[in-house]
Amino acid sequence: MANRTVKDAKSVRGTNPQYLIEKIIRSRIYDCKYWKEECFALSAELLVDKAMELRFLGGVYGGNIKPTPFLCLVLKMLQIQPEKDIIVEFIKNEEFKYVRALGATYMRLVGTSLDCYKYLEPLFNDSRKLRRQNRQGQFELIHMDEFIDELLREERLCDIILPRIQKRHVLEENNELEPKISALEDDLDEGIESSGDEEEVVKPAEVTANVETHWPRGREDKVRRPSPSRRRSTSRERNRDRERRRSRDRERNRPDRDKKTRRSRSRERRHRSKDQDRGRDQDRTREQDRARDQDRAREQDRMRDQERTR
Amino acid sequence: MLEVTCNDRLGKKVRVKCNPDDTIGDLKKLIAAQTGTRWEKIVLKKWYTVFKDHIKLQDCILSI
Repeated sequence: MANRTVKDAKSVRGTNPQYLIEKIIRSRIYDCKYWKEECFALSAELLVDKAMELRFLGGVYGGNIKPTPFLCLVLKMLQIQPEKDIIVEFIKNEEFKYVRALGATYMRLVGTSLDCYKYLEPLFNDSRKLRRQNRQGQFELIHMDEFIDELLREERLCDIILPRIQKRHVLEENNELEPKISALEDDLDEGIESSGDEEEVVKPAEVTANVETHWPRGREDKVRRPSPSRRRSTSRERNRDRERRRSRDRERNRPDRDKKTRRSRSRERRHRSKDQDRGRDQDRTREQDRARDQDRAREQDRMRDQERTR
Repeated sequence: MLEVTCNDRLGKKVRVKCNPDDTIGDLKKLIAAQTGTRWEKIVLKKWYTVFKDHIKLQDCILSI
C-alpha cells in the first residue's frame, strides 16, 4: 500500500506526486506507526475525519526522524489525490483550522501558481493560532496567516520542499491576477499620512535591519493589530503632522499634479488616491514601505510570543 | 581546539575544527558548511545512539 493508489493519478510537476516529499522522509513515514495504523486504506471521506483529529502541524522531529501525523496525512493526500473541490472545501471550512492548514499545504504542493494565490490569499485574514512542532520536538506557536505567508514565500516548510510558483507580480503583469488588496489598506493609509516624517527617519535603520522587502506580509492583514505607524504618530508632534496633512491634501486635489515634478516624489507617490492608475510600481513601493514598518513590529511581537511559549 | 572527522559512509568524509565547549548543534553547522547539506538534516550518531543538539562536545567526548 506504500505506492501510488490510483492508476490514473495525475503526475504533479512532472513526477509521481508522492515524490514531492523526499525519499528519506518518505521512507520514514512509511515505517512509522501512524501511517501503518491510521492511514491504511484511507479514502477522501475518512481522511476528513483524520484531519479533524489533528492537533498540531509539523514536519519531522527527534533524533530518529519521526514524522508528525500532519506530515503523514499530507503524504496520504498526495497518494490518493483528492479532487480539487474537496481541497477547496478543506480550505474554505472555518471550523477546523488544522484541516484548513492541511488543505492549504496540499494546494500549495499540487496547485498551479494561480490556484495558490487565489485560494491561499483569503486565508491571510484568518488570524487563529496554530501549534507547530519543531525539529527538537518542542511546540511553538504560529498564526494561520504567518503559516500561509510561509507557504507562499519559503522554499521548505514542514520538511517538504515546496515546488516553485511564479511570483505574484508576474501574474499581475499577465493580467491573470488582480493586484493584491490588503484588508488593512485603509488603516495603513491613515497611519502613513500622519506619520510620514517618522517613516522617513526610521527607514534607513529599517532597510539595514530587514532583508525582505517584497510583498506585504501576512501579519499586516490582521485587523486586530493597530498599525505601528499610527501608534508612533500619537506620541510625536501633532501640530507638525496636522500642517503637513493640510498641505498634502491641498497638493492631492490639485488638477495638474501629475505633470509637475515635486520635491518629495516618493512620499507623494504613496499618497496618491486610489482613482489614479494603480501601477505596479506604486503598489510595490507603497507596500515595501508598509512592509518595513510592519516587519519590525512583527519581529518584536513574534519574539515576545516565542518567549512566552517557551 | 579539536578536530572531528565525520564520515557518512557514502563517500563524504570531512574534518572540522571546533572547540570542546561547542554544542553538537554548532558542530552540525560546521559540518553543513563543509558538506553542503542543511545542518538541520544532519544526524550524528555513535553506533545507534543519536547525539542531541544541545549537548556540549566536552560532555560526550569521553564516550566517543
